[in-house]
Amino acid sequence: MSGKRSIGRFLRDNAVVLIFLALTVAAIKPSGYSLAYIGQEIITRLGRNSFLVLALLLPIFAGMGLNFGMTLGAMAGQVGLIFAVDWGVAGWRGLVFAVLIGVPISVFLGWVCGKVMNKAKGREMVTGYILAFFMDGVYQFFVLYMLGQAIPIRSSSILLSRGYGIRNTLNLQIVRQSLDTIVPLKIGPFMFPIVTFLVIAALCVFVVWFKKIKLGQDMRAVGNDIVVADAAGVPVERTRIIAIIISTVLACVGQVIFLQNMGTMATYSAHTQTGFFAVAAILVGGASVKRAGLPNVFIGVILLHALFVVSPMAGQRLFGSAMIGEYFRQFIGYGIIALSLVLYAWRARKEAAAARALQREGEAAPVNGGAA
Amino acid sequence: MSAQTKGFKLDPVRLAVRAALVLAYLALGAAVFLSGRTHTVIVDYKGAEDGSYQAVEQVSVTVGENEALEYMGGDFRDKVTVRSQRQKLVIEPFSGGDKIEKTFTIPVGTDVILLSVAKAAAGIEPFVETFVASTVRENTDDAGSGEAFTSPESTSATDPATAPPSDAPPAPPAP
Repeated sequence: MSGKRSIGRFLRDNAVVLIFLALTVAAIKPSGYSLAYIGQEIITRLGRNSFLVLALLLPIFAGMGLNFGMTLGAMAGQVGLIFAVDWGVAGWRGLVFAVLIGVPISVFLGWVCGKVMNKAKGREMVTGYILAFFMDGVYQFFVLYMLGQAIPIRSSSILLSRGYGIRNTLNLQIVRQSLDTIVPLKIGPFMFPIVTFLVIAALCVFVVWFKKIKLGQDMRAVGNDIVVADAAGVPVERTRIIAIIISTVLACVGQVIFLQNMGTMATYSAHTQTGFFAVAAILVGGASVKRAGLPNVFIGVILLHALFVVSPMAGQRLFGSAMIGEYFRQFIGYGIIALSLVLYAWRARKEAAAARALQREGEAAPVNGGAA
Repeated sequence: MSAQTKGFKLDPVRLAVRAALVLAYLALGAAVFLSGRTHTVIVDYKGAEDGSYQAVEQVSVTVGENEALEYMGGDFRDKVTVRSQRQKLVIEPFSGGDKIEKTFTIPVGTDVILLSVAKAAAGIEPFVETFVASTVRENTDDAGSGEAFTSPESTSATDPATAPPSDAPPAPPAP
C-alpha cells in the first residue's frame, strides 16, 4: 500500500519530467537522427542555454517565481554586443567588452524590475512578463531611433540605409563561437566547448556558495515566508531586489554566451523568447515556481532541447511536414509552462487542504482527550 | 572618520574601495577594447606611377598573426584583418633573398588602413595610411519597410524602396 503510494507520489512529483522524457524517447526513432548527432546537438545546446537557465535560480530562491523579467538582461547583453560589433572588438575580448557594457545597464534594469516587483508582491511572474513587454518598446526605441542619431555608430554596415537604427539582423562573425573555441576538445565524435562549460561550472559553484552565505540564507528565508523573514529582521525588499539584479545580470551574460554561439543576432526579436525558453527548460527539468536546483537546470536543458532537435524531423517523417514539428515545438514550450503551473497550483491546493485537515484533527484531539 | 550628507553616510574607506572597483572596471574595459579592436589592412603591392619605387613581386607577405599572403605579380591588392594596434610586417622573397621585417602602429580609431608593400620594401616611411572608401549603400534593409518598424521617413517618396517608379504619373496636387 505504502509502495503504491510512494510510486504515485513519485509520478506526481516528476510528472513533467517523465512526460518529456517519454515524448523525447518516442520521437528519437521517427526523427531518423543518429544518437551521435543528437548527442552533439545536446552538448552544443547545453553550452548555449545553461547559463540563461541558471539565471532563473536566485529569484526562485527568493520566492519571486520564474523571472520572466530576465528578458531585460538579455536586452542589455544585446546592446553590449551591438557596440562590440560596431567597434570591431573581436574574439573573446569582444564578448568581455559586450558584457562590460551590458552589466551596468542590466544592473539598472534589474533594480527597476525589483522595485516594480516589490510593489506587486505575489504577482511577480506576470509583472515580470508585462515589464519585459514594456521594456521591449524602450529597447526598440533605443536601437531603432537612438543608435546612429543620439548615440554615434561608427560602422555604417550595421546601420539601416536611412543612417540611423540598427539592421534587423546583426552579423556576429567577429565574436562567433569565440568562447566555445578557445579550448576545443574533441572526444570521439563529440566536440566540447570547454571554456563555456567552465564558465557555467563557475556559475554553479557561485550558486552553491551563494546559498551558504548570509545573503543567500536571507533569500531563502524570504522565499519561505516573507512575514516570518521580515519579523526576523531580514530586509525583505532589499533582498528581493538583489535577487532580481543578480538574475538580470546573469541573463545579460547568458544572452551574450547564447548569441556568440549562434553567430547572428535578430536585433529586434532575439531577446523576446529568451525568458520563455529558459522558463520552459527549468520547468521541464522538474522545477516549480517555489523550488528549483542545479539538477533541474541541466535535466531541463537536455530534455527540452533533445525534443527540440528531434521534433521537427519526427514531424516531417510522421506527418509529411517539418512545420508540424515546429508547431509541436511551440506547443510543447507553452504547454509545458502551463502544465507546470497547473500542477504546481493543484499540488499547493492539495497540500493546503492536507494541512487544514491536519490542523482540524489537532484541534479535535484535545477536546476528545478532555472528554475522555 | 566619516562624512555625512543629508543623512547618507559616506565611509571614506568604502568610497575608496568603490572608486577603485569602478576604475578597475573601466581599465578592464579599455584593456579588452584595445587588445580586441580589429582593423582591416589592405595590402597593396603596386609600385609608384612615377617609378620612384618599384612593385615587389614573387614574395610572401605576412601581416600580424595572419597566414602568409603569396604574391606572384600583377596589379593586385589583398585584405587581412588584424587585432590590436601594433603589428608586424614580414616580406619574404621566394628567391630566398633578405627577409624584411617592419612594425607599424594603427591608430585605435582607424578602421581600414592601406599598407604599401612596395614602400615598405623600399624603406619609405610611412608605408601605411588611412584608407577611406567611398561606398554606395544599397537599400537592402528589412527594418523600416515592414509594418512593425515603419517610420515616417521610410514611407516618404524619397525612399527608393517605397518611391513610385520614375515612369509613374505624377501625383495630383493636394486639394
